[in-house]
Amino acid sequence: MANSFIGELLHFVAVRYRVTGSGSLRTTLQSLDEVNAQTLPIMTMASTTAKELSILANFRSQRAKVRIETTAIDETFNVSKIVVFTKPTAAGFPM
Amino acid sequence: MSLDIINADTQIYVISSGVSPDPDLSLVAQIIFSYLDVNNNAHSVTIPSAAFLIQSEILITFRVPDHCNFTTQLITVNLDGTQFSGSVQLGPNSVIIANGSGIYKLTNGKSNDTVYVDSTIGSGTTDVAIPNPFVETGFIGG
Repeated sequence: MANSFIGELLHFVAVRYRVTGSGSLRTTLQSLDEVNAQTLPIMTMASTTAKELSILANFRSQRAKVRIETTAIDETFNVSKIVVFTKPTAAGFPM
Repeated sequence: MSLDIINADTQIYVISSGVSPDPDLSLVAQIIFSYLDVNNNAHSVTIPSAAFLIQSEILITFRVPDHCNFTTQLITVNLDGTQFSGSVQLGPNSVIIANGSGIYKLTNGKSNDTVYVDSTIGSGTTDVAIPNPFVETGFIGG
C-alpha cells in the first residue's frame, strides 16, 4: 500500500485492531517528524474478545504512522493485526 | 520573654528574628502585659493589636498604658496569637541514603519496573510504571 500513494495527500479515517490485553489502549496518528498528530479515542481492552474494533479518525497527511501505548502501570496489550483505512484526497502539496 | 522597663508610657519593643522557632509577630493578636505595682501586687493588662504602634513579622512596639502604676520592675510580656509549635532537633542529624542506582535484570512478561528505594520505606523496592512505553508502525503513504 505504501507505494500506491506516492506523495498524495491521504485522509486517515479509521484504525482497526485485533488486540487483547488489559487496561486502556491509546492510539495516535502522527505525521512526518510528528509535526501533526491526532490522538484517537481510548480503547478498553479485554483478555479475550471476539471483536476487531475500529477507531474512527480524521487525519490528513502525506504519510503517517500509528503509535500505540498504554496509559497506566501494569497495562499490557497484544496486537496481532492493524488495519489502517486511508483514502487519497489530493495529488500532493503544490509549492 | 522578659524585659526591663523604666516607667509608664515607655515604648516597648518586642523583637523576633521572624524565623522559626521564634514567633511570627505579625500573627500576634494581643499582648498580655503583666507587672507588679508598688505594693508588689500583680496586674495584667491586655493590649490588643490595634493598640500596637508597629506590628510586623519581626517587631512589635507599644506603649505602657498610663494607668500602670509601678516602679522599675522586671516585667513579662506574653504573646497571644499563633505560637510556634513543633520541635527543633538537637544533636547529630541522621543521614538517610537516598534512592540509589542498582543492578537490574530483564524479566520476561514483567509489566513494570522494580527499583530500589530508601530502605526505610517498605521492603526497599517499589514497582513503578515503565516510562512511556509505546510501539509505532512504519509510515503509511508514499
